[in-house]
Amino acid sequence: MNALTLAIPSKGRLKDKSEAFFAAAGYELVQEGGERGYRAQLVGADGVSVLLLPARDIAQGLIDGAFHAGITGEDLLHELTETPGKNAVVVKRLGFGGADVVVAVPNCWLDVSTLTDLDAAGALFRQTHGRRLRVATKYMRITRRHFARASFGEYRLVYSAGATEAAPASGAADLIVDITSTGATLAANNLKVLEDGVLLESEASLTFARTADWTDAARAALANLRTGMELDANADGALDAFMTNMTKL
Amino acid sequence: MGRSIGSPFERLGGELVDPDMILPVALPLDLCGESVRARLCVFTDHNNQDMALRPDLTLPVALAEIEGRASGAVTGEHVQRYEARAFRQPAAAGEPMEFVQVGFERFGAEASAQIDAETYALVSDAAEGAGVEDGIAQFGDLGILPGFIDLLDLSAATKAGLRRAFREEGGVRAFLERRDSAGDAFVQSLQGLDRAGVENKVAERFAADGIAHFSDRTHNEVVTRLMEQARELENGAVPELAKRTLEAVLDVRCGLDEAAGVLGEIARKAGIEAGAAAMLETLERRFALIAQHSARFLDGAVFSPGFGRRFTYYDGFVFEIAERGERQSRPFGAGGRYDHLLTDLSHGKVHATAIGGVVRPDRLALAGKRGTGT
Repeated sequence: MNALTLAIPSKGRLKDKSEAFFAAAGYELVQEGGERGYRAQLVGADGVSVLLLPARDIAQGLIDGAFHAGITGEDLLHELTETPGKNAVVVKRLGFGGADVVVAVPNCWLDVSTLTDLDAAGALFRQTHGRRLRVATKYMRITRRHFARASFGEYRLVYSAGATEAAPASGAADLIVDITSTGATLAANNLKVLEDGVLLESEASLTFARTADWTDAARAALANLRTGMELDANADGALDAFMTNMTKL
Repeated sequence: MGRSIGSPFERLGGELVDPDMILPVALPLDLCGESVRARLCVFTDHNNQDMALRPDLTLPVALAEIEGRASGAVTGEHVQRYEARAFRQPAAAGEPMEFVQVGFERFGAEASAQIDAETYALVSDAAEGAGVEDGIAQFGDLGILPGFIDLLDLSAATKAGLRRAFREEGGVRAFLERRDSAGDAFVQSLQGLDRAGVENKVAERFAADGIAHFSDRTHNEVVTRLMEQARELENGAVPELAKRTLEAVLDVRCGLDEAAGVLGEIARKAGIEAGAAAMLETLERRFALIAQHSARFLDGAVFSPGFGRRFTYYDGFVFEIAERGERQSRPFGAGGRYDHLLTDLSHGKVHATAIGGVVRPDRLALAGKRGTGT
């Protein structure tokens, strides 16, 4: 009887590292139907079934409460809801999949190194060209939220699903908000990150869904799963707080 | 029912219109910025272009006005009235996405305290005619802070920055404590240079760092901004007196009859009372006329210079009338002056003063019911 559903990334480094995280806790991941299956078991974790999903679907599922827990990027948790932390609660940052969501502009803009500079540049740009500066990004919500907080308004968003760093050179946009781990791709595309341009420091995170179906069996399965995981005091406390709040629902 | 609510506006003449319901999303976004995107009802057409249902009537009415004036069909004073639907994503639970606005937009009339007061009178007439007996008005004037900025001893770039910052929530204070490139070693090295000198330094820097220009934002714009930044550095930080003055203006929240006096005192302390006199006289006259001619919804009414900033068209006199208490953030009547909108929307081709007023029949009905205790 599987009482608790856990979603982990279905491919790539995120999958490998997630698998390693559970292996360290003494739970071996065994995929049903071999490497390409999308369901799995954690051997030794009774009552837990595992879904292998794209990271974006995991974030959405945690926000919606479609499953109990999952590993996904904080960037996605922040992008997919207006109220990050409300339904999907990060209990532990896992120390891999680290990357920053940043504002990057063409390196030939010698006059722009902060958002205040960008605002002034944007105002002159609008006077000169009759339109606002265009920001290419797949992080529409994060960008809008952060720019509003920074009182920066001289921009328009353009959705970009991929290869965002190429947008300024192709003319699709004037600057970008994108995720980067080393900055190498940005530099290769002649872009520089603004000094106050880090909007979010993101990591793969063990996250719990507040609105999932937390039956007694699900709680029992979690209590059992947790015995193997070596959570530090912070994560332990966060999980306790989460479970306490759950009972109040 | 809509007809009877809008009947006070018929006094202005003009015609009843129902302009375009669908607009390219670029129009409100370029005009107002991304902050309005969350409130727009947007869909994608067959060519993958984002379109928006009109978020109010002001924008499509202004577009029609521009067309009329550009073709010469409309000149002088001209009024458009409407009783039509608008669409917005609700900001609060329980608010409708689709609602009716009954209002008017008046173009090319004299920009005066008299016309401002008349606009308030028309909107309060419409509310009263709909059976609303109690309510509370809030007033702003989006020309006041920019007026003070102009009078202070500041560089042109700082003034422009402050005027922009005023339009963003918390922007002026953030701007006064800003971090920008003025402290950069590179910008410092540009001090005292003329344009050719700055261009040389930029070329050196490009060569040293292997940078080449690429971007719709032109090389000229980069150089212009660098020169402004170098000049800013020479001018030094915003003086304490100017900071204190602007913060004092932003903090004003007072009764209508005190407004001109309170602002006059701030101007006097800053040594700019002569320059501010005309602006404050208009403010005083406007509120005197409002109190004389249409003293409704004024019990407890408050003026603050920054009120109405989030309505990005408005650039002068602005007001809202709402129920007292928790529904005060959902006004049943509003209006204001937007003398620069036609210029901005037409990229400088058409100029005309503009002022408008509007009521929401759904909210009037609610306020009327509550007021009579049913």
